[in-house]
Amino acid sequence: MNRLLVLSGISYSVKEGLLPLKKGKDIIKNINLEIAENSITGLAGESGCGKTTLARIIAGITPQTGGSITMAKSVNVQMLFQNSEEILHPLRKVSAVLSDVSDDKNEIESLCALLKIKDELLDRKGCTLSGGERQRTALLRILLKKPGLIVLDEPFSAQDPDSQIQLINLFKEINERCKTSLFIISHNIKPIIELTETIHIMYKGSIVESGETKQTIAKPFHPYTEFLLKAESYNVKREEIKNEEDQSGLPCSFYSNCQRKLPVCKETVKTENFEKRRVYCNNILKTN
Amino acid sequence: MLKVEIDKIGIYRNNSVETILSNCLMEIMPGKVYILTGTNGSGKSTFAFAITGLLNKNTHFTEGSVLFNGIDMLNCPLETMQKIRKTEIKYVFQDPVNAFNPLKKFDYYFTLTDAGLKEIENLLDFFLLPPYNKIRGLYPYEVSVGMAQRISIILALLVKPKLIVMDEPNSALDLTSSNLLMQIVKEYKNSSASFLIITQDILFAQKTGDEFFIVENKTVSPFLKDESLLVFPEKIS
Repeated sequence: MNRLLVLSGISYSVKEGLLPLKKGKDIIKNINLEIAENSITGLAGESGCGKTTLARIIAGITPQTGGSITMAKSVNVQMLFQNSEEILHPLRKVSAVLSDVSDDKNEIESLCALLKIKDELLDRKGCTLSGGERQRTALLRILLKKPGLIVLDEPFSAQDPDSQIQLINLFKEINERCKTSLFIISHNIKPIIELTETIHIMYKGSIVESGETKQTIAKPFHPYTEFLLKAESYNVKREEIKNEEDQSGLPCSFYSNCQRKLPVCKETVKTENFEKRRVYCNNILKTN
Repeated sequence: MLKVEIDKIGIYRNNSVETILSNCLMEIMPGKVYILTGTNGSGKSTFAFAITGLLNKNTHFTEGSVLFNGIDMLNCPLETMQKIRKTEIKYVFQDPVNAFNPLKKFDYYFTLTDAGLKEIENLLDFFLLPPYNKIRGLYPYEVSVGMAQRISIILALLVKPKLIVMDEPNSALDLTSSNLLMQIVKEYKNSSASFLIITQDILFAQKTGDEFFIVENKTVSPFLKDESLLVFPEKIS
């Protein structure tokens, strides 16, 4: 498989206050991942873990403060934002918004068919569209740019189960027909399992585990992935969680809540690569 | 406890009326969790607003009766209604940030509940929030949506009401907090509080609920836990 994009050692930190010598707060740290050509990749993690920041860095909107992004060739990267109310101009007609990008009527027509957008919608103004219609219209505008990679930030939020299934099928079709890679971010792991080939699990600014999706979900290696799947099936009790303490100095972001921590976890985290998997943990139980 | 017999909920639109829901029957008993589900725009929130007397009477009308321990919720005086809202029926809104007055700090709301400090601290800690002396001085716009949602759930729990209505509580919560919500709902249920929870998270519904209702074809009807509506979780788990 050809690589489209390689991130190595990406980090992003913000300065607190104005003192020039004060160390910044890390939002994400040392992210390494690859996106293959014509693939569907997922990034899962709880709210506030830095998913959107990473997405914005990949899309080139926010510059990273450390590390580098290597692109195979000049890839057109587009991003579908989470907030559907802000992705279309409320007072402009949809057709006017689209004509900014392309005048190719045939192209627009065939994409309308793919995205199931009715013709009459093109004559309406942005503010009269529903959330789902706005999302599909924004996707249409993105696809007119013929991107090599689309970054989608929480496309499944505020969707009922039926619309989620439809959206999953739509993304699969876009990936096949438009020959474009998708990078999908969601705090809801279910649609990601259904849709993606590769999954990355993120916790508090670090990727803790990456791998082939079905394999990773069937047999998670990192304690946080196990926790996430347990929480996903609503089996986590309050007694199992420690109230957050400051652990900014620790190499492992999951240290305080980890059930399998070792003394060495305070010093360093080992990166284990095997069977197309990459796990950042010192204490992997390969037999479970 | 709460007996709902609504013939019709409608909205005035362009000099005519439009029916949103009709023939809705539901009886809420103490110590049970009621789940209300349905697709986007089916009228779940409208129904919950109607039975708690929150529908705007200038734009909507409700025909039928909603009796809360014998009191007619649709036609009772404002004072009675306010008393019920303060201590008996609590509503956790879907948009937690706008549910608060942006010019009042959180200590205003905590003081209104008359709850003891220990109780407040316990619930804050349960929901993994900072201690009360940090929370009390914050304005609602200074916290994240998930935090505001957890605080509004805590405020509802603190007055120990007979019924708590929650409109999509887990859409603003992350997974860990949703797990905690499920745990605390079960605890309060055992001390005979009732819950009406609107949710589209089917697994959460299955694991938390005792009775299930779906809003579909302009009406509210009961269904069993194992009915085919629950195809989605099976398909992807």
